[in-house]
Amino acid sequence: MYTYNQNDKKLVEQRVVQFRNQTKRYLDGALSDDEFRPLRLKNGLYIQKHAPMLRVAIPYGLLSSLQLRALAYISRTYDRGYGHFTTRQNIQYNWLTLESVPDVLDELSKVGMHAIQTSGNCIRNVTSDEFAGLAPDEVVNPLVWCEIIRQWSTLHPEFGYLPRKFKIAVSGAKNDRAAIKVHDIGVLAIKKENDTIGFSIYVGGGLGRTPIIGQEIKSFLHWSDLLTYLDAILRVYNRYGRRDNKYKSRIKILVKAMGLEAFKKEVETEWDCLKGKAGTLVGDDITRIKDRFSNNKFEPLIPLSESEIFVGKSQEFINWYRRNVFEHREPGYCAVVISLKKSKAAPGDATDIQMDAVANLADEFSFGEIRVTHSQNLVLPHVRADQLNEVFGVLQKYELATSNIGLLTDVIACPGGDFCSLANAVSIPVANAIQDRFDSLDYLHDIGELVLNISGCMNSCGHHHVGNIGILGVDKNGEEWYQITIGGQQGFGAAIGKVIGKSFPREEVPDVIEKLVHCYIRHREASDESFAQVVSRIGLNPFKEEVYGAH
Amino acid sequence: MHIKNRELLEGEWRVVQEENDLREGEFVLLPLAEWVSNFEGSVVSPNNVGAWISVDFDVSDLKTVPDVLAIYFKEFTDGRGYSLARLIRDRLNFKGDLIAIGDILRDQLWDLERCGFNAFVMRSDQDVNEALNAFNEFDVTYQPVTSSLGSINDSVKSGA
Repeated sequence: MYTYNQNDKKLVEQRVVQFRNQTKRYLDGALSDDEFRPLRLKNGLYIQKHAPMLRVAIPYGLLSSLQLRALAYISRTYDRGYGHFTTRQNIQYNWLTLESVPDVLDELSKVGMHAIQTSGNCIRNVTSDEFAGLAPDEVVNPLVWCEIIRQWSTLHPEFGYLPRKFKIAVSGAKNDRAAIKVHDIGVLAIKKENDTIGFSIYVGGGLGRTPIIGQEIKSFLHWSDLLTYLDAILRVYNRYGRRDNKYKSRIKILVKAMGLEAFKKEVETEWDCLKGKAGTLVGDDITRIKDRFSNNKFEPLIPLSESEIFVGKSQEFINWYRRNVFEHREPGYCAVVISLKKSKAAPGDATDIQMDAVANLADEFSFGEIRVTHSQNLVLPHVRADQLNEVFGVLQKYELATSNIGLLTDVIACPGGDFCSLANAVSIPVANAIQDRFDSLDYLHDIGELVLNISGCMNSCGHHHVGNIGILGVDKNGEEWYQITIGGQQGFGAAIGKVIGKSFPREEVPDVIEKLVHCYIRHREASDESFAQVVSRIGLNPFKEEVYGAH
Repeated sequence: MHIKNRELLEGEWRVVQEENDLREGEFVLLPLAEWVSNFEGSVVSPNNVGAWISVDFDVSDLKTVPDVLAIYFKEFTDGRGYSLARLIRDRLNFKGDLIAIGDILRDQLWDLERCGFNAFVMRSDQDVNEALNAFNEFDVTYQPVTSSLGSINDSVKSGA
């Protein structure tokens, strides 16, 4: 955990006072709707279907038990007893009143949290690997760099009115769990042979209406130059990004229109003037921030084998262990993923009672730390292998022990038409219908890893483009229809899914998913050949024929 | 009234855009090309006559710089003027008065100042007295600041 120092704390408190004043001036009529809009958006506040929606930042998905309890308290006191964890590691409240928002922000600031830049045309909350700092495949711990980027981007004077929103993801492992190639900027922390830390920088990735995979603009950027280089990219984007059409205003469109080489040349010219000047990082900057991250005292444990862990345990526990428990770099410790994807609930939703329960578990078993994943689940990052069964028991009690991480029912979905005024169609009922169809755990485990994403509209908040199966809500003469894509992938091999054909009415979606799964099972050559691998081996046609019949 | 160096001063700077716009008097901002053709080479331009440029101006076109330069914001949501101000201060080392004028709002003043503007002309419907409070809302910043003296200072480091 990063703990705020006096200045971090002061900034967040002063932001609350500023926003309270802005809200008051709006309610008094001194600010018009149009003038208040960017101000409230830059503080995470949307005007939605039923009530305002507040998006609270969980920088790089890191939460303390104290913070999670505060989130539970807010949902209980100001909302309807639950919150929605998003694909960008944030939490959203859907039932607040505008007048109560400054008080909610006050509550958040007491535990070092805020809603700064969770929306609007500015640099958004930075996201990262949910297993940062603990993954065995990690090369560089990205957390310190995430915090440096968080501070740099917070109230950045130059980039508060960009052409469009701007998202940065940071990773430091051999496998990319932060989706760095589908962000405006992806930062991959790496090490040179002489152990010098630096970054590979990717630019121009993104989903939405025009999904594009980001390209490498810099293969090795020395760590001290991180912020001046980010400034250079942002400045080129701020000056030349399109402002005439909101669908063409993301940096990916600029990079595509200019071409990577021409864009890079502009960035390098800009950087020549910034490099080595103010904003250049020095060793003290890094130490200062590193020192404010908690240093967990792991006990020297003898690692347990799977058979030792399974002795005398239930089959339920074993299933859960196989799906939801992940390796930790410290011997004898594990990372436990808590599924927020039980059937008949909205993917990513947690009640205040569940949040409190997870906070208590974190205190007892995980150094008081929790992570939020971009697949809308929670993580207890540092659990002793010999205490897993105890954790499992508590999770079961709170309906948090669904053994489906990475499986078809671990559906990633936006709030959709039930809540969002942008959506063409509902997402949650579709997710639930699919979860119901695949309720047999044995079958689900047999299908294996399959990422399914649902977005209620082209804004792609459910990241359907990179789902192995993607479902997109479309509007057909006022009716809700769903377009299906397959072959999408996240990570270093990121790929955009391809549309299989004409779209379907809502009630047919579970049948279509079932047909796609049957097709996969028939064609797989080994039980560990994943859905994504089969699609890339045999192509779309067998799947199309299965769904639409032979032509 | 306008704001300069965080103080309220007399004088209503106005942007001359059309051919028929009045050019006489004080606190006049001429289009840059017009200013250049009128005053280039003169040692001192007339008191309180400056030039204005729009937010999409290319700094490499700026050969002669007046003592008073304004960036005109057509829409407050267009953030190009912030980067432009930084380039003028940091790259061209401009030390004169840099005015933000047009559609600028009270809640933008602090950011504009940190990008190098030291003078502001608010829309006539804005409460300019109240707007002065905008400079005192934060004691902490994470980023280096472009000051009106034309150089980047180190920010208040968060660990200080």
